[in-house]
Amino acid sequence: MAVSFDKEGYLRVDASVLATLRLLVITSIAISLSIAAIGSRLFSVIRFESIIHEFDPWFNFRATKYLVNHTFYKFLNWFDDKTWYPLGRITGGTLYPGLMVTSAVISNLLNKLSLPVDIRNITVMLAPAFSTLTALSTYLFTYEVTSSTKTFKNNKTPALLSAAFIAIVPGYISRSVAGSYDNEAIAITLLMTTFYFWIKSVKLGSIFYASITSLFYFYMVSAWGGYVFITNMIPLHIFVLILMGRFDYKLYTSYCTWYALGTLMSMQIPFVRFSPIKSNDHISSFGVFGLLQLVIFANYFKTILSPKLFNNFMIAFGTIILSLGLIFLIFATKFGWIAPWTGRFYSLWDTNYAKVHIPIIASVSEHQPTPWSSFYFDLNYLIWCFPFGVYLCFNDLSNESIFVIIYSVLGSYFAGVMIRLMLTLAPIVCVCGSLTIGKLIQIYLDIKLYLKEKNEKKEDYNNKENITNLSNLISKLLIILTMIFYLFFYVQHCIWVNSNAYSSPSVVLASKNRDGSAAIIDDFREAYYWLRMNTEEDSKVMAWWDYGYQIGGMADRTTFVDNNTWNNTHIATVGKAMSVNETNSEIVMRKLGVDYVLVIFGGLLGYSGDDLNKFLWMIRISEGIWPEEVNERSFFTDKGEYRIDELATDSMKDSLMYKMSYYKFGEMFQNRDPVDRVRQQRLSSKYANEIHLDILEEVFTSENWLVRIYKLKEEDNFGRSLVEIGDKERSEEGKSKRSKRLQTKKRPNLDLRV
Amino acid sequence: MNLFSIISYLLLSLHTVFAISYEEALSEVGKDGLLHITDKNYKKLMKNNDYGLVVLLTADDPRVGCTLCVQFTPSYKAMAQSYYNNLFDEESLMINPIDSKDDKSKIIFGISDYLSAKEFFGVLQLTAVPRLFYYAPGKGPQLSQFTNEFSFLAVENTDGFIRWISGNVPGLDIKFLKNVQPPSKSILLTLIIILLSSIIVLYKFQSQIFSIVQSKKVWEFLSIGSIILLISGYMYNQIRNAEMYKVDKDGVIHYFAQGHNVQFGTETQIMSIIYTTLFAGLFIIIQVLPQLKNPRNKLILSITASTIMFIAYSYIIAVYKLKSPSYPFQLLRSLVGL
Repeated sequence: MAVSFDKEGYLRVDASVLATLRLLVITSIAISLSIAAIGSRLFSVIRFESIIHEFDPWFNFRATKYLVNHTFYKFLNWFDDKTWYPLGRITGGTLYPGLMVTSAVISNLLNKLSLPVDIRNITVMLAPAFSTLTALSTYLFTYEVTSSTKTFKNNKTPALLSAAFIAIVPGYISRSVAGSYDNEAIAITLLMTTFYFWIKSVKLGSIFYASITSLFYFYMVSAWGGYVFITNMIPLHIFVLILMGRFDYKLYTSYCTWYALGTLMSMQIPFVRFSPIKSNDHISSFGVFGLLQLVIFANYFKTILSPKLFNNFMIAFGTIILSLGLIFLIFATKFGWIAPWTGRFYSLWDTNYAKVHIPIIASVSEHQPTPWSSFYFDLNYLIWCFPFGVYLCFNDLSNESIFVIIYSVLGSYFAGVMIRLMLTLAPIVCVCGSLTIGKLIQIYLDIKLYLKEKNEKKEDYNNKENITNLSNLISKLLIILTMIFYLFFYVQHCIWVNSNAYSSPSVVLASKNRDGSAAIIDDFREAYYWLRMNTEEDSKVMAWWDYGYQIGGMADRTTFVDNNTWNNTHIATVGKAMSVNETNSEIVMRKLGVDYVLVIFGGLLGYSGDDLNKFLWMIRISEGIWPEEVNERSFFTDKGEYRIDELATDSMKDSLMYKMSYYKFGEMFQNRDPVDRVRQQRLSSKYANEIHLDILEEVFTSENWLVRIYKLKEEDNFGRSLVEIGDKERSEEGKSKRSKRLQTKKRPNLDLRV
Repeated sequence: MNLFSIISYLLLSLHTVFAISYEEALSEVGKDGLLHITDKNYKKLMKNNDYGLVVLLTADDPRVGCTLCVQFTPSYKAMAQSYYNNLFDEESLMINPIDSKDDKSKIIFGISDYLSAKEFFGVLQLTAVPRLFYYAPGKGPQLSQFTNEFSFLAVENTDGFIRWISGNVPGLDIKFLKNVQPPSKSILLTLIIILLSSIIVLYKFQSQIFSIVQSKKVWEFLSIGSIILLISGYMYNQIRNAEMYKVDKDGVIHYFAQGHNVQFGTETQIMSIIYTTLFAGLFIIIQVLPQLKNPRNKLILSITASTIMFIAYSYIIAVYKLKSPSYPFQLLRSLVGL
């Protein structure tokens, strides 16, 4: 009998039933967490549609489509002649293929099961699907950390809590909403899984688990450039353990297995190649590998030598090794055997490096430092439970909790330096937060303890005890209620953040009409669709690099620069074409082979992320290459203001970007003064009507003027310069005073290709 | 020819007589590659004949309290130094303006500090430092009518001044100004001395240092302290050189920057205090309370701790709401009166 009443009337339940019940509860928790994780990532799909978001995902999507339609080897050898025109890009060798391969495998698998799902839907839903796996791996990680401590032995509360936290924490959702098809979408899952297997293998000293660790490490390397975080975390963990005198053969086994296998496997990725042995990012893992050999060597001598002899031996040995290592390091760097420290590496450690030396890195908003409000926004109240979780780890030092401590300190540093690395901090904050809350629950909400007390207290019952019990109950209740309230608030906050901040596809914008009803601004896709249907298939579209991937993915046209920023000069060339006057710009554009120019203009709508606001970066980047022709100072007025109205500087007024943005802007306002709603400046209508363009011809402007497309005019048959012709026409128009009528008449001739 | 033109002609010739040539100026330049201009010598030195003159007017003394000067002057000095070194280094492949006829790239870098050149600054009618002036050849005596000025105001990255200089002096390649000097022997020597002395100190106070390094409390304090600092946005202030606070037109001091993505230095301090308070609250609840025996003390302490934590957390939320007003949540309304 599994359940029965015994003679004294107590309910007796068989252990197997309890175990089943426990499993059932945990499974249902896991299922509801998955639903919560996926559900909170679906806001954008429900509000807009199943669409790929932002910029980089469009490239990943395009690459995935290529992989699905071709073979894997063709994908690795893919030379993409549609980007970085005229250079092209060896795409297969310069990307992390993990993401594309994952979705291609899923797509093929579903096809084999006769469940043909469109590749777009797979890519859109990949990130939410992986987020449930992240919750699972975080659960396993936390359980592995807590199960070895005294306080949480056989207690799954913190593990379940951490899974619940990570499922909806905004810091992670920011990169994993449906449609955000980016490397980070699967990378965090892999990060936590790798770390889970790592601490497991350290605990057991098992080659099997170490091999699995390196397998997941390999997957991580194939998926995200941030794998370097693991490459440095694991050696650091080992290094600290050695310094603390916790060296044992388990460490040796697991590290050496991981290092040897992991390094060999990571070198199979074409983009990584030999950097694990050449680049300084990886040098710490190699150094610790060497150190472990030395330590085990010394350990051996310790067993066969007398203590005094061993001491002397160690000193001599240490000095020789240290000096040899230093000399090697100096020479290797000097002769260029090991790669110079890369810029991204510098910007992590020397925080001023990027600002001074690499405007292109500084221009990316993801590389900006993090103010405290972002920490609060992304992690809510976990942020103040986090330090206490670290404190709890200190209270119960084990190899695993040391790992958590190192991860916490490093993670908070990196997250503080670069806002996008909040992503790597979020899992450990969830783990530490769950330790704190788990501890609270253990102390104040343990039902077993409560029942036990009640049983004991039943016998001697008096008034004084009663008061004690009451005050105890009140204090417990107060604390636990506030904590539960904070948890409740956490969920509220997360849902609000997810729905408001992180669920916008940024390809489609949402706004409100005057009556409060929702309006969708779909200018980007309108313009890209126009490009796709109305231009020659091989036409080249020049735009600032933010839009390169989208033009490639949605309009399927050749671009000059895109979000993959490896060629600074080429980007600067495009920046120069945008920031110099028409005559000079025409020279650049003819040399580049430009057919169309695309600008984003938010002045009419009030969209602040437009090209004029990014213009300063174009100027800065091109000034780095052509300081004589482009000068940042000359775009500011004498008072140091960034003006775009009549008081703007001449360089500003003459620049192609300015003209493209405000060309015919005055017509929208009839005879009133046009107002730029982003920069809050008013142009007089006379001045606005005088803005003219000679080398370009307007071919398309989207509904809300967000995207404007211009065509580079053909060269004049008589060899006259286009600017001259334009000037001449204008002076004639001025004489005949018909300018108003002519302007309205001159509409571009569009013929629709079907 | 009337009297006036004779006098002006005389003056002009006098001027050319007293103006100094590039070679003469070079001999005045110190080993640091800089022409040090003071009240005593500015009348003589500010007469450039055939070379361009770049003058940095600064006030490095901490008593003046010009942060930008202190920040900027070292990079200017380094630039002048590298130019000077390249000038006499044949391997640098820079054409020495003395040997070549291309006198366009003849340039002298001058520096003048306010405390030693008060009169000179007065003549220039300066109201603010630092200023960086360029005088075309022969234009030095005009003093306040400089040929060109580098604007510190509109430029985020002051390293642009090197580009500005090369823009003013045609024929001067930018790379000769930028060359990073190899660390000099004296730096190496001091490094070795520091290394040696630290080893000696380490050896002498071995046991004390070891006991500190091995103490768990120290590491605990260091890691938790740094985590609290970092999550309060410490690195943001470091990287962005954020202001401590802002005084608006009405003289009201704002400690909190408006906007989700910006912050002032004070915010980090306030937030780290709040986080520490919350940490202490958690410590009391988790570590101290279960140890207490007296039920009354227990009740009082738990109420105090919970209340303080509640207020602290409400404060965080209130401040956050202040920074980004679209945030819908708040716990205690009265705290918004910040």
